[in-house]
Amino acid sequence: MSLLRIEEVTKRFGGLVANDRVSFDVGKGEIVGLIGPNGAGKSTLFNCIAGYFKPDGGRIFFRGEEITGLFPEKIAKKELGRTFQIVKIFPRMTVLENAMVGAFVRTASVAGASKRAGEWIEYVGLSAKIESLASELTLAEQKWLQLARTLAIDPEMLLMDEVLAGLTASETKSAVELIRKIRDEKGITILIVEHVMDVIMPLSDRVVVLDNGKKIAEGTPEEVSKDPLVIKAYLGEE
Amino acid sequence: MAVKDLFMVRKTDYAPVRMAVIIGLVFLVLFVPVIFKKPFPQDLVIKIFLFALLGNAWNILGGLTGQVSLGHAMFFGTGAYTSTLLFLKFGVSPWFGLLTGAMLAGGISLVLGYPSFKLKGHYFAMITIAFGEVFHILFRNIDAFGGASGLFLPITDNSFSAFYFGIHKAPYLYIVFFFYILSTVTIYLLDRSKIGFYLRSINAEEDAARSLGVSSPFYKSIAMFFSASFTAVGGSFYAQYVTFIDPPSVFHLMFSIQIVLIVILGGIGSIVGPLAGALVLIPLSEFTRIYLGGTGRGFDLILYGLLIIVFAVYQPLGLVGMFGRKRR
Repeated sequence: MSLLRIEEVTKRFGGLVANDRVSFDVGKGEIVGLIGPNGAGKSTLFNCIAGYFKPDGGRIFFRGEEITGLFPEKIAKKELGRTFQIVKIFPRMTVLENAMVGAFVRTASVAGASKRAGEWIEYVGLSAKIESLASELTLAEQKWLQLARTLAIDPEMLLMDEVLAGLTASETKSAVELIRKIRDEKGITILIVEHVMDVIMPLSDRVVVLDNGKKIAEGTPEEVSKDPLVIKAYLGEE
Repeated sequence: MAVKDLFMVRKTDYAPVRMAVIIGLVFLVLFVPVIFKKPFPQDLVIKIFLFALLGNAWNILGGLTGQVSLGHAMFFGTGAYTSTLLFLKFGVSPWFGLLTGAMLAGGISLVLGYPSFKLKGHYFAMITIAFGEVFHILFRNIDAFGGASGLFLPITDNSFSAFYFGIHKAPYLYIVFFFYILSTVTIYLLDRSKIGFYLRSINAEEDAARSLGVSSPFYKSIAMFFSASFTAVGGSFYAQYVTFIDPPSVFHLMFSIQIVLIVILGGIGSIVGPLAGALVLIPLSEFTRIYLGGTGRGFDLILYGLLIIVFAVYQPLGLVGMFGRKRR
């Protein structure tokens, strides 16, 4: 059953068509990779889904309910969470307080929010830093914090925008394990935008490829990596 | 869910030093009229707490939420005019007028906040200046509200219920101190509740806050409501204390800016910042006025400006920041 349905979504910026009638589905419990060269329109599509941009055409459904053009906070409350490519933490708040902002979506109780936030911080492996200011964390830790904070809203689905960019090899490895664990243990569906091809391919159940705003391929990582259009998009003409 | 679950308690909250300072401050203020018998120092302390109250009110929106308003005089004036007009035209008790003014200013802030919150940063500050000036001009030209000549409150019997004590300053001091404490407690509780977390997250990264389900227009409106209401309380108090109001004294842009300067000097977003700022700037402006008289008109503002420049460069966290204890 499809959890997220993108239907002919178009987004223009002036004369530039950033997303050109993009359609695909994400099934419940899937990890779907969204890839494409720079400027392919991946982040634009993310921003359309999460409510930061209003699409110029097309419709978006989550759990069968239309969410096109809703405010970001409304979409978050519908249990569709997102992380940002450029980390947007709350620097002067502690790690725990950062995650509490997410946890407050379901409760007004400080104790309740603190308990839930603490559990998610432990889950992403940041317990040792729980009292640190978010600004004191390394980039990788800030990314885990961003993830914990979004998980604290209790999402059914996560949109992850380039969580692996800028990480070292070993950090990338543990990130991939964590993303798998989130899906396998918590049953959270994941749509992930990524540049690092050799990471996204083994991680994803399915891959959607964008180029110049258009969807050029969709399928298992194997199928997609053999697709001549995809090879052309990434490597150029022969 | 118990009420206490709604607020976070920090380890430092019950620190003995902090409690001692608070209790000390309360006693100090209670004994001001006993120690200083002359009206001038009493008047000075009243003004300090009035501006500390206004600074607190501004801080809810500016410090906690990060929305810099340069038009808070419109709420101050709304409070001052509401209680005064209700009393003059209908004989309504100034206490009731104060409450009405606070609610009215809160209501106005919601109406004006709705379009203003679509603007960010400097643009928000600019639209608040514009609204503030509209109020200033309107009140100068509406004769039913006293026009440019302003409104006098008549002398009545000295009594608490009339909110009038003639030449006695002690009751005014206790009243303004009470409102200052009320605003401080309100900020303290807001800061430690879900609302406070949401306001601080909007301040830090609005886009990220929204991705976590924080409805930023709604929570900014809450902050604006509290901010405007407390400012209006200060306005009603001012009208009762001075017994004369006119548009330049309560609606002037300089007045809005003075509130902001006090908070910036004291420490933006800090709970004791506004009081610290008022303790320095109010005596400064009173003394320059006394010693320089008419020739020194505006000199206090030059000094203000100089202080702000020095602080912006060397101590952006304000006076409070100088004492090492960084606010989380």
